Amino acid sequence: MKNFNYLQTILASLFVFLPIFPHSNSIDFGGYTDPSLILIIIFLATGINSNRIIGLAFTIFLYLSINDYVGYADTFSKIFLFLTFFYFIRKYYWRSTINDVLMIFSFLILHSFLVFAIYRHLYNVNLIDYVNMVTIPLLYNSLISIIMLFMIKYTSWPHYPEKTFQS
Amino acid sequence: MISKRNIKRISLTLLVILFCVIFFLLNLHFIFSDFFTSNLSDVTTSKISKHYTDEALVNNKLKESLINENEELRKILKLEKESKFNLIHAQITVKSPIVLSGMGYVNKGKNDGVKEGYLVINDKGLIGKIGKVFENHSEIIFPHSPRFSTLVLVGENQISGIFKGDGVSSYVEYIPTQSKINIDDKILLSDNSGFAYTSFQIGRVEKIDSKEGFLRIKVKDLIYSSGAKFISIVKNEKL
Repeated sequence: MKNFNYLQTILASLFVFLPIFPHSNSIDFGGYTDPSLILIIIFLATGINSNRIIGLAFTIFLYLSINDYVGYADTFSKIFLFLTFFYFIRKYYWRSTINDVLMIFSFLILHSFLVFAIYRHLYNVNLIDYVNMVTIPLLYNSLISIIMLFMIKYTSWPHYPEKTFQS
Repeated sequence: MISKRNIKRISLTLLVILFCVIFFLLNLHFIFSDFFTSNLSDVTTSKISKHYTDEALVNNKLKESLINENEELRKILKLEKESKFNLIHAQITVKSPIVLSGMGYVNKGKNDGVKEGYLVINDKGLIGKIGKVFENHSEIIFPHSPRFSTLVLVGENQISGIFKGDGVSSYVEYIPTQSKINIDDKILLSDNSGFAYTSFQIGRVEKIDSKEGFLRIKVKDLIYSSGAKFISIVKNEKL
């Protein structure tokens, strides 16, 4: 499991809190990103422990608390997919860059599809309207997830032992 | 049978194509072209002059955002002067980042005279409707939310219908099928109290369908209400 350092934890908390306040456009990418989705993906790709599950649950329920009952569909889909992916990753998944990227796309597409299925059943939503509304956020979420995954998992600050003497 | 290696190759190619599409869809190449023109066109530019150029650019951006904000506030003042509405000006302060989120919070509540059901507008169009009201803040329901509904008038004959959200987009429903409505007809705000709202256009007719004995009208030219910052709540004493 890839551990996060203090700076990454602070940045993650900012990433969760700042988009709640609209027009903090330095971090919410114009309101097209859902940090809870990105956080789920990053945790699935880097490994899960109890602290991360608590953080994730806090984020999901914080977003649900400032939303109306429409948010239940989204929350259900996130939790369901998180548990499903968690199970499949533990059983059948081997870690590689390409698999991580494919996992990101499949998670986001399945999430959109599941939310659409619920909305279609409840409110008879039109597919074209839904695709119009969801395409740009889907692209933003996937791009940001991939960038963040590479930043966190596949790059690391070089550590050299400090030299206390002159050679 | 495709081998695992080939599957990986195909998926990688598809990924690259997807990235290229995204790159051009989001107009990112313009950002890069700006970058290249500013960096490669004048190789002799010294570091000091570049520093001053960067500073000037930042100042320019800040100035631009202030001008935009100022312009938005001016438009709201103009809206108050020109319309017959009694307005309470507010700001959207909190919004859930969930993509299909249908609500947010504004910084005005009971203490400022806000009541449930008041419509919310800005100079460009309809932003939503007030939901629950608290002491110093209130809920705002956006037009695409299934909780949103309001009375509107459609077309030259001003036929009344219900403007409703379905979670993703907004439609006008419950208009009798024999009504004469054309594409591009205006859709105006209305309420049961009179004609105070009828000068306020919220969109135009995009598509007309028939559903369960009524017309169902798709609305175009609606504004992106979730992205609004400064808003005006229309006081309606009859609510």
